[in-house]
Amino acid sequence: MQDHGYFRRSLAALAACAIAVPVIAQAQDDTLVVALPTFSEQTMTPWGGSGQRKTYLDTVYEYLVYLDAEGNTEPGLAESWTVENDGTKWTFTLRAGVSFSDESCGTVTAEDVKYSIERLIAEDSRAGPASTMRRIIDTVEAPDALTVVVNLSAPDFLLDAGYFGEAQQLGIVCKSYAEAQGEAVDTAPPVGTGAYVLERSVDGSEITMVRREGDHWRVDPQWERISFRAVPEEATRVAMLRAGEADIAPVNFDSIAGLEGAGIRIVSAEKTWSPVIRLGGVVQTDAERFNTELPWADRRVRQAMNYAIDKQAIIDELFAGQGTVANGDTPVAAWDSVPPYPYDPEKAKELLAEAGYPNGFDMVMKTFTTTPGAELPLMAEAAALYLAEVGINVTIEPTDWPSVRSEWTGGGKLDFAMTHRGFPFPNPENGVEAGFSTRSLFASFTSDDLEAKLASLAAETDRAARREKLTEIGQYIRDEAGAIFMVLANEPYGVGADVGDWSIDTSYVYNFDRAGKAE
Amino acid sequence: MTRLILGRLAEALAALLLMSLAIFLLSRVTGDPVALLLGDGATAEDRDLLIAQLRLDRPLWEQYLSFLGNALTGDFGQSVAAGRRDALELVLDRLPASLSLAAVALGFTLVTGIAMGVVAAITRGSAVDVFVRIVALLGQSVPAFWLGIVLIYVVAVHWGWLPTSGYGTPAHYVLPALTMGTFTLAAVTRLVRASMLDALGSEYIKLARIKGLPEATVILKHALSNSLIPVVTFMGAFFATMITGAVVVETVFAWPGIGRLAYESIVSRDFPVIQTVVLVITACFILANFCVDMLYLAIDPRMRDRG
Amino acid sequence: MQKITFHAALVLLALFVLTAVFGPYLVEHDPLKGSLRARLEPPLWAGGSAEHLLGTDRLGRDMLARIVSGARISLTVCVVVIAIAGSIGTAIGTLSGYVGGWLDRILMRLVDLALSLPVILLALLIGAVSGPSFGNIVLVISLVLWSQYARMARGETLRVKNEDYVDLARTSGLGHVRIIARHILPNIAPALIVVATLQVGVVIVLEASLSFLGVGVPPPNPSWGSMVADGRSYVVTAWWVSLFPGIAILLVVMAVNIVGDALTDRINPALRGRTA
Repeated sequence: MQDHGYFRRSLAALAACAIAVPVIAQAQDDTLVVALPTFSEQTMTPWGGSGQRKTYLDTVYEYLVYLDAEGNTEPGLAESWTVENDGTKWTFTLRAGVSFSDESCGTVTAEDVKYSIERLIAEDSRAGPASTMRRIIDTVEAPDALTVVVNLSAPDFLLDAGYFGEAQQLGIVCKSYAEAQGEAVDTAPPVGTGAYVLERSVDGSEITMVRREGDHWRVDPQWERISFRAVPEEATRVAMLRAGEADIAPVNFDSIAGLEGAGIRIVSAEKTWSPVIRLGGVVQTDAERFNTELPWADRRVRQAMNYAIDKQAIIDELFAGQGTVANGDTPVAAWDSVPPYPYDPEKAKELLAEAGYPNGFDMVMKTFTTTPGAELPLMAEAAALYLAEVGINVTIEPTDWPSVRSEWTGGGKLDFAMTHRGFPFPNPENGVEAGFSTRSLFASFTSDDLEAKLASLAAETDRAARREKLTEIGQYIRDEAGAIFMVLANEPYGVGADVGDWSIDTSYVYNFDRAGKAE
Repeated sequence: MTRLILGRLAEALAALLLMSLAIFLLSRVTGDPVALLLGDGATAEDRDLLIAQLRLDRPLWEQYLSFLGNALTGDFGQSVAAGRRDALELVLDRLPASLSLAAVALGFTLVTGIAMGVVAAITRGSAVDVFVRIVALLGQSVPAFWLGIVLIYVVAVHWGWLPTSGYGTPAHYVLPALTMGTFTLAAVTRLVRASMLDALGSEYIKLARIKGLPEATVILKHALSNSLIPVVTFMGAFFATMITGAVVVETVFAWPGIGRLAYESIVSRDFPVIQTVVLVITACFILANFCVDMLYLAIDPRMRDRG
Repeated sequence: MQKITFHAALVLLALFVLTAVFGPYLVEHDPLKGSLRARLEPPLWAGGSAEHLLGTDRLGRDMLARIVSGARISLTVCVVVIAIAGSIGTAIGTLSGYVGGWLDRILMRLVDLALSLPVILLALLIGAVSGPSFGNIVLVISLVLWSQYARMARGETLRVKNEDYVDLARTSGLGHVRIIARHILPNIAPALIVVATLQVGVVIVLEASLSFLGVGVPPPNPSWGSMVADGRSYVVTAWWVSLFPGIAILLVVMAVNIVGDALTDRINPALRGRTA
């Protein structure tokens, strides 16, 4: 009976750990130990869960397109590619001779890529971008072993840097292996083209990758093993860095000074996320979701809230100076020219009085932590202090992401604000849609003008014009104060002395397989 | 005797059912995991699709009954947040880590607590006694997570004697067990001390001394065995305290146990896993209490008739 | 020696209550408002200024003011929880002991059940349902503690039930309710008070753990427990954020336990083995 099996296994496991096996936790000389807050779902397929798993999955799987330090595209598993038909047809020519870690899989072929795409956008896929990708991808063809043709239902000029790039979740898997595994594929050892393979996985505790034999076409891995540990408590991760038990770990901004004092250097992913305060209920294009009673239904009030907060002080104090004042809800290169709101509490009071709230008003702000985003509750309290000075009384309600998200995307007229982080979409057009278009469940601010601009952007086929339109949209959202824009922040990582060169250039591109060794 | 055991079994079943219903209802009230699982750009259609996939659109009673029905065959459903992995397997994978830690912590607590309590009682009024009592008071006043973090910094980072966190070697057990057991250690110490003082002053002991029995025998054989009874009485409560402290300790020390799993599944609204974890933990509790009851009956036959 | 400690503990407790009641009116800083530029300032003797004697927390709020206000919050939570858990537990226990028979068996099974459930998980779920709030904290901690009162009340009721004066009351025709109210309750009260004092520490420490898990007293309210939890990332760099509220907790819990122990000794030494 099944029960006996479990019982016996548990007893055996119990005995095993009681007797104790060495190996596991020692930071061996040739093991790069990375302490992460979470493994997320700890499943081994690209479609099996969130993008947070890319920390470990990206050492095993590879992508069609890679990005350089400036964000420009580089050939990956696709050697070259073209886009035609005004952005609705993409043709990728694959690199020949890239072998999977499992010999029976041979080298990467168009069939593998087609399969990977189709699994990623399938209805049971748990990947973040699955639903949006499902909407734009019409068909995928594999006319020959090294050619993949993707037909889209709407133009997307940034498919290479976006969905098919290394910052998203289209890791290429071996079709024959995945099919052979059937239902168990999500938990089976992953087979990819990356420089590492899975050595061991202990649920909720450790995932260790070991370097493959021979040379790799893309990276020259310095470390024989990369061992990921799940360490939810930040204070513990900092302790691990200081004790030399971990080589790399994400840390809070407040821990930076102490770590630097202890000889641990800080490597930051620059401006990869944006803590923001979203104001609910201003979906002006949907009568069901537009709450006209709200004080911030009036644009002047939203602008006032932006003027009232000294964002630079918040950056200096809460983010250790690592960030810039935000002009939007997410870092977008095309929005660099959009000026952020200055700190001007007098102007804020003026605007409030104009809008009919000379004595301010009361409001609720819900807050929670995400990864990254441990600072969000702190930021909420700081923002509340500033808003109080112009008469806006904020009640902070700490909660958790699932609860708020349920409410936020549940339809209906919202009446609260929430702290959140801006979407790090490598294709900013998708990010803007997710945040500000009527169709998205998540949108909190929309308007007819914005809908028109978004539609115009989607239909635009000239690249330069697209960028201009995107900038225009950024300016519009800023002027309309579609949210309380706070910070474009960095993500700090503590890095131990044993590690040489290592950098994170953009969100979700971790480069652990490229980490160097110190001399 | 058989009636007693059967009675206990019936109660255990009732407890499990009650708990499963309570958790089922409570977790459904907290919302659903759908919003969390949806990608950022999801639309209403995507959400409906996911709800249907997770079968959350069926009426509550139907969901509960199907859960019960499946549970009886050993199928506790698939985790929603961990990629369709079998919920029971997920929980049982992590159970050994928690149980072994609780066992070590309990062992440490009992051995050290009893020793300290006895020493304090024997040397009543002395500096040692005062020291022990202060340590016991401290142990009951310090929040476990703070103690854990301080221990990590002092012992592991500053002195470098032990690993900071994680799981694997016997050395990894020390700090978490110490943290987990401190509160209970204090309680056991005070309990044993009080009982020993009681016993040492009793007629029975005076008689033994008059008889001329060696002091060591007096203390160990007679006084101690009597003072252990309250410890056994509270054993179930101690075990419970440890399990409740497990969530905090496992978080701080990155220990891959079910306490942490329970917390994470609650946060991600992973219903199948929440239900499974709670049921497994409840079953452990019941088993522990049952063992304590049996132990009690073995030690003190007078209790047998009281039921 | 023992007398000195007992008196010292009493004084400390009195100080605690006084601080809780009057303290907030006497401190100069607002415990809820801080200045970002003044965050994480050390206490006076560690490089800080006289402006903030005990330093500031992570949002620049004065530590002294927060600890004083925290006394009030901690005291309130303790009092309310013990009142609720105590009333319910005592009621159930007394009834169970007095009536006996099948009612006793059922109620005690209920108590056993309560003790065999992992209440912290229920607490987390409840916290997840309605977010952290005073109401939730009280509900959750009461759930954990009521059974101790029930057990003690029952045991004591059983003991008192057979005493002479109760027999006398019964034979003279006094109604059950009056017997319980006039004769039983006053005589079991001392033991219950002991349980209550010993639980103060449990309540405060439990609240701290719940804050650590995110379901404690909601911000910006300065409960000692949530203050210790907030400061856990600064244990090395800004040790005062966790340490001072921690010391406050320590002092109050120790004092309460000393008093509780002394009361136990006075009232009924036989109880010593039955409370932990």
